[in-house]
Amino acid sequence: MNHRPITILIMLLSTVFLSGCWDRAELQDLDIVSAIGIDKGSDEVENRYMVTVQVINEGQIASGKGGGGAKEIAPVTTYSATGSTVAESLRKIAPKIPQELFFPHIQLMVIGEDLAKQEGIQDLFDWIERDSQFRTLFPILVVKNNTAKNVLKIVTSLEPIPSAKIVGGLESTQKTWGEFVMTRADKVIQQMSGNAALLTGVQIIGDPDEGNSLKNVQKISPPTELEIKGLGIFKKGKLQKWLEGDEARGAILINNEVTKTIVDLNCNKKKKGLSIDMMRSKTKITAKIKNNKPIIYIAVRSEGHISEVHCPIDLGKHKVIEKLEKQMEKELKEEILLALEAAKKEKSDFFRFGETINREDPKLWKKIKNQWDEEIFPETEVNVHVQAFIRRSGLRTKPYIK
Amino acid sequence: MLGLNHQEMRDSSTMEKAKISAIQLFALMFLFEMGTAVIISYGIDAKKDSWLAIMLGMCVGIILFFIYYFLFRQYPNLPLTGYTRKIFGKYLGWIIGLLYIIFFLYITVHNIRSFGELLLSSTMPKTPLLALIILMLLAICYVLYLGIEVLGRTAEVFIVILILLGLTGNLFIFFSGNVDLHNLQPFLENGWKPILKTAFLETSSFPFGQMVVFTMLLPYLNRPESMKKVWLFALILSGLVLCWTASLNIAVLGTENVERSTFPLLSTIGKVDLFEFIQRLDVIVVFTLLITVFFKASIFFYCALIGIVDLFKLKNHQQIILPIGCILIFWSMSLASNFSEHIGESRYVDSYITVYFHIIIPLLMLVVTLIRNRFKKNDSSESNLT
Amino acid sequence: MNSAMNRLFKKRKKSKSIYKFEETEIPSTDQGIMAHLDENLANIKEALGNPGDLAIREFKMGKPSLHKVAIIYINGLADKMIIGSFVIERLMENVHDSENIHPKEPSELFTYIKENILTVGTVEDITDWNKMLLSLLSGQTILLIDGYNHAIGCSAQGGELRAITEPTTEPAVRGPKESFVEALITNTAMVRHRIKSPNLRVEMMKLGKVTQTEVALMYVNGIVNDKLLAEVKERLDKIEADEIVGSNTIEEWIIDDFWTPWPTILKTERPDVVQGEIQEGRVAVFVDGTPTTLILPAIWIQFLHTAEDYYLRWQFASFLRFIRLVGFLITLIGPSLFIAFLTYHPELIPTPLLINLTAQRQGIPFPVFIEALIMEFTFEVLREAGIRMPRQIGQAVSIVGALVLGEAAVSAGIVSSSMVIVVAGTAIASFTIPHATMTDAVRLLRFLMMILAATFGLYGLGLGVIVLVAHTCSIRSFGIPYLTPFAPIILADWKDTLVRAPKPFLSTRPRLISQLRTKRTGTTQNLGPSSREHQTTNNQLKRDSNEP
Repeated sequence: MNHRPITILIMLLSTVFLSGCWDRAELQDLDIVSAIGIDKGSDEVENRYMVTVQVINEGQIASGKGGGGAKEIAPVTTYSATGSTVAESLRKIAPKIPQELFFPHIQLMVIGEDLAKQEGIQDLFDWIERDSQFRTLFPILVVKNNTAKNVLKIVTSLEPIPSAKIVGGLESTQKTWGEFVMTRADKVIQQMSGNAALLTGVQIIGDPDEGNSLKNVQKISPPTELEIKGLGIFKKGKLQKWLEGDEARGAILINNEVTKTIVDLNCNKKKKGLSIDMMRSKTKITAKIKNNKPIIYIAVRSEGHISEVHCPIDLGKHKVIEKLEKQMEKELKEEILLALEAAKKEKSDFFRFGETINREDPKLWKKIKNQWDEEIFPETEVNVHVQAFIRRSGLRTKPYIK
Repeated sequence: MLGLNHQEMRDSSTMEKAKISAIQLFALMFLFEMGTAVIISYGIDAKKDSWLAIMLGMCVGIILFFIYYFLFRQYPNLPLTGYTRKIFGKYLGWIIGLLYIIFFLYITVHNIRSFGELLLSSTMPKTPLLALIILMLLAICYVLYLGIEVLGRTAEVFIVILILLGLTGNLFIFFSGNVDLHNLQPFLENGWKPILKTAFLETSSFPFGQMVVFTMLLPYLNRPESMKKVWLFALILSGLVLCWTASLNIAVLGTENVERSTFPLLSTIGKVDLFEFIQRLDVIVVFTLLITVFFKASIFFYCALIGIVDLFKLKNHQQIILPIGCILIFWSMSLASNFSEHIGESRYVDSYITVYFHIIIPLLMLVVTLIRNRFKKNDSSESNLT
Repeated sequence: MNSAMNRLFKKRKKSKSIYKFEETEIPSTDQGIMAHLDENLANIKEALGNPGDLAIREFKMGKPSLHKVAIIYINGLADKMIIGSFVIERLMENVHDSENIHPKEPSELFTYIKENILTVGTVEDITDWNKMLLSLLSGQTILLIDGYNHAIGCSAQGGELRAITEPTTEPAVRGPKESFVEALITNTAMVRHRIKSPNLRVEMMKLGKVTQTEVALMYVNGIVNDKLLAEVKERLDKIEADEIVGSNTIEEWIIDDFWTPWPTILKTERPDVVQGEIQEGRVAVFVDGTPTTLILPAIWIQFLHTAEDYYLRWQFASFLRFIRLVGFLITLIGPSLFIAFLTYHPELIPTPLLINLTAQRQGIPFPVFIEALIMEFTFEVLREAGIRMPRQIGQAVSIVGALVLGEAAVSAGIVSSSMVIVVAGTAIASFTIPHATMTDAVRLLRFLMMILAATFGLYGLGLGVIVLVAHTCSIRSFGIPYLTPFAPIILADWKDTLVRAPKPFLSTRPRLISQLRTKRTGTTQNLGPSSREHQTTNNQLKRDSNEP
């Protein structure tokens, strides 16, 4: 009787011992993929996609080993293959690499402009969601005027893994400049299920082939560089237009994703002679229904302080500050209106005003849902109200120039 | 309290004479209710109002409880399979008891299979399902061999661990800033119809109606008078937690995403990314599922076992653990050939079969008992007269 | 719970019957005490095999010499000074009164000697031959008189014993600095010093057919649970061993379940621990010849407590308990978590860390599991070597071990440096568990967990933990569930488990262990300063400083 629990325990243990270790993998047998790029393939069916993976060369990256001295081996290696689905192309890479590709640590995904423009990317991300290997926390960027493959092969300075450099740049831009946002995969997928989407872009400055060499980083000023640039407007998965500069920042402002940015204002007569460091900004979007027509209200409230002045102005006076606040409100409102205009022109509601209307009046939304993008959205009235506050002027009230 | 007395007590009877305390029953019930329901896309047919559907389901669970409670009051020393025979007579009652046992075993199998499927699709895609199931069932067999008392005590330990896991998980989700309450608005987007439908067809029977299985365990309570409080408290608390989790999933992922994903909680926790170091917290979800499924399957299995002991007049439940465990292994393997079939089958069972076991038979028993009591009263009053 | 014990006995009995033809009785010579002194002396010599350390002093007693008397003792067990001045001298010089030494009844003579002559602490009448031998062998001095079949045992035990030293296995920075020694009486006295209550009971018994080891049960009457006491006595009575070698033998005979790796009896060498534990209603078992005392029943959390906890401020003591719990968990599942993450779930490791780990593992010939196994095993070998070696060489072993393990193995590319960190971390964590028996259990279970993690990853590990917890819940120590007060939950007892509340809050004794009197502080608790008037106020201070 008493040996029974022992028997069960022994059976338990023997299953453990007898079982092969099916999912076991040793770290040294994995090739960690840091970034993945998808381009348009050469034809429509057989080679619909060309997929490029950027694999980390751990020995070159890890601290402690081979530190200092000129590195002779590139920190990452890229491989490409074509296929009719992304999964197939990825498998086709296998013959070219020593070990198994390991995807959970992907940091970045880039999409070639050709693919985004011609084929559309609405149906591209199913494999990311379906496979438990992928975490949807990495950003997806669109390459401006180039292919994803070229972006992934450029050696970057300061940060050995190029994709980490791009992501790092993206993050700091978002934190301090506010023109671009981290278009995280899960959000992109969410946008793709709607009609309109907004994706940040990346571009290559210089010659991509020159960048594909360690020589690129041996120079103090690298001839080829990567830069975050532009916001791509997508409609039904296809890239329509690039937003840049003020338009882009306006769009980000509407989406309530600006944390910090610099706003230039006119200083007395000098155009753009004063900059405001915007520290905080909050956007609220509400919808009201009038005569069965939705009206959107955008209320922005932003705070900042003065960071640079190029003309003699007395910032110790409340009046002056109030004037500047008015000017800042106007400036921000203009930016927002620019972005709205662009969106209306493209008939693409990437601000998700539709959701706001749904929250306000689900019944109405159900009625107008189908005509929203094409007919109603471009005609909808949008009221923008900006409140700006300049809280302080730094350590000086008056500049030294007189 | 001392082992000696305990031993004597055990030897003297055929049924396990262990006792479980009120806290233990509560722990068992809570873990039981969390089992799979907290992980899967639960009540999502009601879209943004799934929390309301869950609450309504819980209310139905409370009504069901009063049926079970009435029966328990009538036969405080008998398990469910015991009083089916008292109520429906020897033969019919026996058959109904057997049906209940088969139903319990089916749910055991179903739970284990669901868990295996989650593991396969989330972390261990290459491992054969059979290996996972064997390991799980053997562990369950071992713990059940040690008896219901040990299961109760183990539950006391793991309810603490589960609460800690839940708290950390919630904390991280909130701090990572992915919660968007707009996802839960507007209230009553699609009207009451889908909510009521979900509440009565889905959420009420699973998991609240499944608590019918605890009628098998009630005779083991050391303080039967505390049962009502414990049961209601466990029911309401677990209902609130399920409601909270479902809302959290929707708030983080949005309805569409929850509908599309097989295990939304896994995706929800996957969004956590704090300081670029606290991320990839899938472990929390997998452990939560492991613990809750383990207890849920163990409770169903144990109740089926003591039911069999009761029906077939066996000596103790230990002798049949391994044979039935083996049957369960093969049953769970042959339950469905793929995940979709598995889900489809469970939907079918949930909406057409469970209702008999959770509501109709207990209700019938209630009615029969009431009528019998009436007759008995008449009999006794008549005999008094004569 | 007791069934394991019964089964044990059954098995032992069965195995005895197999070997029955070999079984022989230990020779015993039970002649009884004769009236002739010479005969008695010869018999004693024969019974003991005429050992070299047997001392027999024959002389005459009374003036004129009337009685042949013999003093018998064993060299080294008896104190010669006492024998000389309080037995022999008294007998030889002071027995003058012929009337008294010519009694009609032999018992009168003995009474006279006991009451008027012998000036040693205790004397006893011995009529039984075996008892006489036993007293002799336990260090008593036997007085035999020719013509009487009686003997007197005088306690003049002495000889060399180890002095009381500082505790070595359970050191405490602030606590008392004494530890038990091998002599049972010294040990019980040490506890008596601390509990001056008539309710402190010490019950002696002799166990072991051959060794006749003295065993003492100590408990506080009124606090101890009577059922527990009866159970302990019953189990002790059931011991059928010929020899008792130290307290471990007793432990293995009376333990509830020896299949479990967990220790269910607490061992200590500190008198203050015994004091504290028996005040909570436990029973202490002292065994002569071993400095470790058994305390039962013992529950799991006790093995993470130290005596030091009660000598530190409660906040810090609670913090230390938390550290120990973490150490316990790291020892148990640290290496297995590492294995599980590296081999099954690399996706759960943060990217920069993963890149570093992968770079370290490049060129390592072993899989992680084998590597961990090799390292853990090497560590255990080193640890054992370090303990068994003489102290000076032991240090050398640890230096070589550290060098070989840490530096050479890593630079040779046999193991990765992260593995060295994990193994070393586990080793250090294992040292935080204060009781060696618990450390040993965890060290063994750690390997089991590693195997589970290596075959099924976190799933195997999780299931392993559930089964382990269930197993731990299922065992009992003398009827007390091992995981009390966590399972079953007894909230009142949590005050002195994971944290240590200040003493005034520890108002009740553990519920399951002592059921009779659970309150241990007065009902009128006055926490904080006793009264306002005694506090020095600022005014007073001012006044004080103003005075010259």
